[in-house]
Parts: sequence; C-alpha cells; structure tokens
Amino acid sequence: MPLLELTDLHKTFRHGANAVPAVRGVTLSVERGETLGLVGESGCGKTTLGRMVVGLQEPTSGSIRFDGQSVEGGFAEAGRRRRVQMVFQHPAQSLNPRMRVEQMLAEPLRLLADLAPDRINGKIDEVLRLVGLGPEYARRRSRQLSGGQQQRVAIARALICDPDLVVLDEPTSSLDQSVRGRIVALLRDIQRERDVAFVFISHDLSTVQRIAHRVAVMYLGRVVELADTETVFRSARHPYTKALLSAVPKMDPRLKRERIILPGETPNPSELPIGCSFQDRCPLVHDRCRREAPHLLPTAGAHLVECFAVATEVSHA
Amino acid sequence: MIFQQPRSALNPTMRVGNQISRVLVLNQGLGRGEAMEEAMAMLGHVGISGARRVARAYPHQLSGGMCQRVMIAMALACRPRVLIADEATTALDVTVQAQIFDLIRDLVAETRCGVVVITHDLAAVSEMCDSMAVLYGGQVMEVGTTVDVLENPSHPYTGFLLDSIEREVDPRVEERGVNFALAGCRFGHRCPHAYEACAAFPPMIPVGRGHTASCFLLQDESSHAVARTD
Repeated sequence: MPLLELTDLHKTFRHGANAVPAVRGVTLSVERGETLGLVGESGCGKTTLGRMVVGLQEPTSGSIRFDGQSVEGGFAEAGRRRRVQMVFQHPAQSLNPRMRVEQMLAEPLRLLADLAPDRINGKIDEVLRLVGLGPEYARRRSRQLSGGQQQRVAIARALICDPDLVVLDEPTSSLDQSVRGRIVALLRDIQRERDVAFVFISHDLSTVQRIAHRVAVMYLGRVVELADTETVFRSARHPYTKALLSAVPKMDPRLKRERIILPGETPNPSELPIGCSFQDRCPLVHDRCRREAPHLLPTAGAHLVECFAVATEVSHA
Repeated sequence: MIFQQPRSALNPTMRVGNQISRVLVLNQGLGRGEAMEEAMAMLGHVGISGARRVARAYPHQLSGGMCQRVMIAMALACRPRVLIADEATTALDVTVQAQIFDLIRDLVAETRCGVVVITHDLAAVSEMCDSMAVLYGGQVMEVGTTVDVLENPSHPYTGFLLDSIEREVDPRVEERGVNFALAGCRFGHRCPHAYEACAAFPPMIPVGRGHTASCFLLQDESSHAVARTD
C-alpha cells in the first residue's frame, strides 16, 4: 500500500468571475522511503499540489489518502499532522527572524510530539547533527546563518518530529551551485537513515535527476509523463518533456545539439483550449488533440505518458 | 545592458513601447513618431509577435519572458557594440531561456556586437560563450577559452566549482562566505591546497595558450617543469 495516494485531485482558484484551474486531475502515489520528483515550469501547479499534500490548501475535488486513510477534513483532524511536513521555497523567509534556532526546532516538538520537556534539548542536538550543523548553531538566529545553513535548519525543523513524508518545495533553488550539491547529498543520507519519503518539487531538472527515484512532469496543472528517473531522462516520450529536457543547457562546450525550441509561451490557465493543453506548442499535434483531452496511459511498464501521438505509436508497435 | 530581473528593471508606470522609444529619443535624437516606429521594429526583432499590442502594455501585463525580450529590445535599440547580459535568463524557465539564448545568438550573428554574459550558471556559459573568466571575491581566478577552462580547469576554485555540479564536492572545502578582508588569495581560507605563499596575491600564470590562472601552485609546477628541462 502506498504511503500517499492522490486521486483525481483538482484545485481551482477563484478571483471574482475569473477561475484559474491550477491543478487539473492529478493521480499520483508515493511509496514509503521513496523520492518523487515533481518538475515543471513556473505556473504548472507543482507548488499548489505540494501544498495540498501537506494540507495547506484544500483540494477543490479529488481525494488524498495517507497511509491508507482519507485525510478529508484535514491532517490535524486525522491525527497525522506530525507525519507530513514541508520545507518551503525560500529558507530566509520561512524561518522566524526573531527566534533562535533552538526555539524554532522546539516549537514543532511542543505542538506535535508527545515528548518529555527534558528530552527536547537532546532531540534538538540530534537533529542538528543529522543536518550537519554543530550544537553551537542552536543559539543562532536566522540572519546569522548562510543560505545553506538556513536551509539546513528548515530541513531540521521539518524532520524533528520524525515525519514519514516531507514535501520539499524548491529546496535548492535559492542556493549557490556548490551548496546545492551538499543539500542534495544531505537529503539522500537522511532518507537512507530515516526511511522518510520525499516529494521533491523543482524546476531544476539536474537536481531532480540526482535525488529522485521517480519523476512526474507537470504542464498546466496535469501530469503529462510519469516514470522512474532514468526512463524520464533517457527515453522521455511526451513532446513537452522532450522539449524541456533539450532546453536544459549542458556542460559540454564542444557539444552541438539539436534543440527543440517550443514556439510561444505557456497559455493562460484561465483560457485553456478544448482538448490537449499542449496543442498550440506541440510538434506532434493532430486533429484529435483539438477535440478531446488525452489521459495518462502506460507505454511500457510503469512509464505513463499523456499523449495521443505516443499512445498510437505504442499500439502500432 | 540587460539587467537581472526584467520586471523590476522596467519602469512599472510606463508602457513598454514608450520606454524603448525614449532611449532612442534621448540617445539618437530621433523624433517621437520615428522613435516609436523604431521601437516597434525592435520588438518584432526580438521575436515578439503583435508588437503593437505589446508596446501598449505595462510590464506587469507581460510574462517574465516577454519582459526580458523588451529589455533586450531596449538594450539593442541604439545598436551597441557591446551588450552586457547580467544573469539575463536566470529568472526564466528553461524553455524560455532556450528561446532567449537563440535570440541573442542570432542578434550577435547579425549585428556583430560583443556580448558579456554574467552568470553563475556554468552550463549557460558552456553553451553561449567563446571564452570565460572565473571570478571569486573580486579577483579573477582563471581566464581562457570556454573549452580550455571547462576541460582543463587549472585553479582549485574552478575545479571545485565544476565538481559541485556533476560530482560530490571535496569535503575539505568549507562552506564559507567570501572574506573580503583577506590579504592575498581570496579563496585561500577555503582552499584545500593553501600554504604560506597564498598570503600574498598570486599573479596570473599562463597554463596554456590564452589560458591563465591566478594560483601559486601553478607557478611551482611551471618552475619545476623549467627546472627539469634545465
């Protein structure tokens, strides 16, 4: 049984008469101890999806099951707030500037864990060591920390109550390249030690490649391709995934590549066309894509792709 | 110059067409009508379809990629000889970044202007640049053609930077900020190879044709090499 199961999840934001469908029917699962990478460009709904997973945002429709039980009515009611945690996008903004590191780490313990007060300090030391910070950091405030150290504290705060699932929203995007690599290595070590599952949200494909077991590619609120990491990076099938991967600059100055440049821009989500949402930028578009919307279909094994052209190719083969 | 964050570099209270034509009025002494026509042409030039509609828009009505195109149009309006792109695509998604790179490449081929790309993204450098300089703490660490520097990094900092992207980084290099108070090599306090000589400022030492690096280790190597041939 998967740790987390999302079924046909929708989220529509309404501003007066204007409706913005941010997430449009996402079905996903995350296993215990697994890292699921969630990639896509700005505005594709990956953050909204992450916020629904931790219960910061109420889905418009669809269901979230955690550890086999529905979390309808919120995580707090279901008594599992402690087991699902989040690391936010900007570490500097998600830490309280007036609190010392030890206060920030003690707060979730007091609120969520049933821990004797005399054990709190021991737990703080333990989690600081886990994220690679010495006990001397407990007395610091966030402005006395570098960006990488702030992110370590944010990770420590998410882990201190021993959660089963942590949603990491762009945890490395605001960090320098050299610090990024260390945070990724740290997260992998923590996962090995604690058997915690991660939902790793990022637009940085190379970081996702280094940490995720499986990758879901999102475009305009839908998952268009889902497979294990190697399959996505080696043999992506969806035309959007292919274009996205080809757009990532590579570190090889002698390389001359054929790049797939997508025409135009991501359409406005409140004025989506009928049919496939990728139709206006897709090199494989045909009549059917303008009439009906495709669904995620398996091509080989657990490799799912949401595209008529790919499905036709597979059925002919 | 193309600035880092296109949306905050543009004037939020002016229509973008006016912002571009103003440059032409002030610098080229064009009349307003003339300048506006030229601005429209520039917008078309940077790959904006419907230049007339976009020119009437305010920056907040445009996407990040569009604002960046507007910035580029403005920077190119006076036909500069050198274009400075400061993290021009850092705030953009990769597919838009690919479009902007293509655009800059085409413009360079067409106008023959020089481009200085300022970025922390080494992969972008690898794709865009003929030669590169690596800076740390206000000092140039290494200079050379992109191929030379990336394939044969000679400064410890360049090596560390490259490792951080594809491999695990050297654990001996501490995660510390730049210390500008440091005399001598600014990378000295983080460098695993640092020794007494690094308290002085190292000269640029040639390591190949047009490829130099600022590190005493290289001097020793080259003097050893000289000693051996003697």
